[in-house]
Amino acid sequence: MDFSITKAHQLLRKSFVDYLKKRCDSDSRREWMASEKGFSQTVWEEISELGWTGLPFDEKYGGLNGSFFELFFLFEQLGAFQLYTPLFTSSILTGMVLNEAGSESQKQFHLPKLSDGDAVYAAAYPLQENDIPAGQGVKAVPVYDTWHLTGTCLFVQHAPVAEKILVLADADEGSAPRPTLFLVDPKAHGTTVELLETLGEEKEYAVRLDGAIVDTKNIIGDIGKGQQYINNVLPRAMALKCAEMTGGLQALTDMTVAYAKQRCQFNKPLGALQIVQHYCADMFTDLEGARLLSYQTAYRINDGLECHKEVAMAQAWCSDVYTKSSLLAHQIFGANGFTEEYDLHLYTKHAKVSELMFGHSVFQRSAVADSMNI
Amino acid sequence: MRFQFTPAQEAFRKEVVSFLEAEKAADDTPWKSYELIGDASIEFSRKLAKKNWIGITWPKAYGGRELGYVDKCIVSEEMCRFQAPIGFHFLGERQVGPALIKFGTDWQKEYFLPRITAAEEKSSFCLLFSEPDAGSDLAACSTTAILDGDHYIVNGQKTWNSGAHHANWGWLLAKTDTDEKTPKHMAFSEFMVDLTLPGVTIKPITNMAGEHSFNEVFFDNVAIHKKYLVGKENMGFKQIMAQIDYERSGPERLLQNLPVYEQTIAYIRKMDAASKDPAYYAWIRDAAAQLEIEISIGRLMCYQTAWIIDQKKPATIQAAMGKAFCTQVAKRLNDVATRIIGRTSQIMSGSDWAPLETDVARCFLWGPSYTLQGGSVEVLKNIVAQRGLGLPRN
Repeated sequence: MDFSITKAHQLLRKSFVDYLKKRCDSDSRREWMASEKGFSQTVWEEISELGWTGLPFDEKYGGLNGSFFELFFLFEQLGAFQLYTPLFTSSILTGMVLNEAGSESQKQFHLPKLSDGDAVYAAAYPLQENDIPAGQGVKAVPVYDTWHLTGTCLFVQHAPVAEKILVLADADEGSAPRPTLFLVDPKAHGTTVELLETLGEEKEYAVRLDGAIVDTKNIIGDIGKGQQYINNVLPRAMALKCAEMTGGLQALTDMTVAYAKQRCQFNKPLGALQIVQHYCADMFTDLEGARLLSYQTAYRINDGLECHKEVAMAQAWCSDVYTKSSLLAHQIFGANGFTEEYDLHLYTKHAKVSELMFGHSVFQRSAVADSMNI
Repeated sequence: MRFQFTPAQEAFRKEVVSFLEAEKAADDTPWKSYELIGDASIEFSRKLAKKNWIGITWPKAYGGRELGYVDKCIVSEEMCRFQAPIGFHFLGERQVGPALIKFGTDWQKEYFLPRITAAEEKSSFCLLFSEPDAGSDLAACSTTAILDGDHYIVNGQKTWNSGAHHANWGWLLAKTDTDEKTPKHMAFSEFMVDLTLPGVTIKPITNMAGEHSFNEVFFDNVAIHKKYLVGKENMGFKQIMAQIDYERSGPERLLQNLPVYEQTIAYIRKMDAASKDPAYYAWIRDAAAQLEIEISIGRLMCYQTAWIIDQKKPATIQAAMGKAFCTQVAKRLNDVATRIIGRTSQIMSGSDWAPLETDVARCFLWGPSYTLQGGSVEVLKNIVAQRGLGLPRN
């Protein structure tokens, strides 16, 4: 066992923190969130320049071929600083699947754009069962050498700025479902993108397809294997979401402890009250659990080890305690935490949105139980 | 970062497991050391000593092997899995050895350490800390040890002394400076006391599980030679604080009922799921997975604390946090297990109707003690908040 972080990774993490500290002040962040796109184009270009968008990809596709640890530490800090950009949907959810399933020529065409951040691609495949409204699952019907796609996918991030949207559709030619990946051009006929009013700060959209036409050359991977490709990527995507949640929890815990030290009532700091101390100790302990489980998952992925149980455990724990801690933090921040002015609500919202993204802890524990053969 | 054991450690664990399998099979008495030090067997401790598995972190000069605390964790984990009767050497190894290595005189080290690692006659220890009016508030202890010539004369009463009835020695905290103006943490000293000395009386206390596990120990003008003073006079409190990470770091706190967990999971696997109410069965799966997650975190916390100690860094916060977390999981395990198994879980082992080989009913009764012994969860959370997070002391 070795719980240390290498010098090289510490330096790398410091470089992430240095940039985010300098760039992500509270006012700018609010301005970006309130903007139409929900993120800063300048920041997007800067982080692309820094190579963050290219971390998951091989050098031959213009990437940095970073280790999984490097991505993991990056997402941990993105969570801590609550920086919203298309990175997760573009480089991870879409890029990693393209890398997994695409043909060599498709990869050579698409991945360099994602690596350089020249284009944003959005993922519109379901991460869990609620993502497709009942009866509106995406169907693909072959028409000559094209496919026509109809259906809806919810919770697609950054869809309006996406050059392409990766859709999972049932290539419906027979009786058995044949989930297949299609790369849809949202500018083409038959695609509408609609902003969802959600409780979160990061913008999410419904993508409606109504006979959207996709050329056969934009089928990604084999027909019928779409879900398999996604499933091969999901553990990594989930682990990075765990990293983000762990970073968010760390920041949340830090700001709550700082507030408990500084806010005085009854002529003493709130943090001198034993109940408040125990709230803080509980948050810190839950954070430690989140860190241990998500680092363990990152380690296993980085070393190419089987990780399905570990990633489900990390998701279950991180998502439970992130929401729990954010609500506990509100109890300490009092009415101040209930205002828009304080940053606490950003974390509360991020916690809830993240908790529900891949299926909350009940679903994750079911996966853990499967791994335990019960 | 590496969340795996080295091949040498994996091999070591295998060796410990095969040894325990053979010993358990050969022993006519069932192993049931679910209260850590309940089962004491000098014969068993001797066998471990022959393997050189007691005090493995200690210097070779004193019978140790200079291995790490992670290695020690591996041994402890397997002892818990098998509920091996480790009571004879348990406290000597966990508490006394590390304290003597740090604070003991040469004579004390040379005399006691090899005896503990060899599990010799008269090398079993108990702790004599708490008093009727000094529980979480240990500084309220009133037992005195007053120097008179070459001897300290001890008077007072200790309580909750687990295993004192089969121990040979006590590790005693007593007041050596009775001046009321002296700050409390500068008034205590630590001693080793031979429990056969005149004036020592040990009275049993029956716990709520119906067992005689702990005791009251009375001191009536007991004369302890000054060579049994450990460390500096009046520095006992600080010494205890410096030792306590070792006490809190082990996985025993998490895994003392490991067989309840393993056998409950096996019990679920054998259930006829189709015949169960689907809501009940879905809850069982959920509850079992939650236990698995919490036990996984607890294990990682224990190994992380051990690793920090191996790095020679202070582990106070991680040790306190880990113990608070682990004891709560251990207590909850038995509670949840009774609900997974249902009504038959209340039947004590020995009955034809008992659901598991191990005793889930008795473990449930032991549960309330886990989150109290060796520092209550509340005291540990205070440590995390004040020393770890820098929140003010009132």
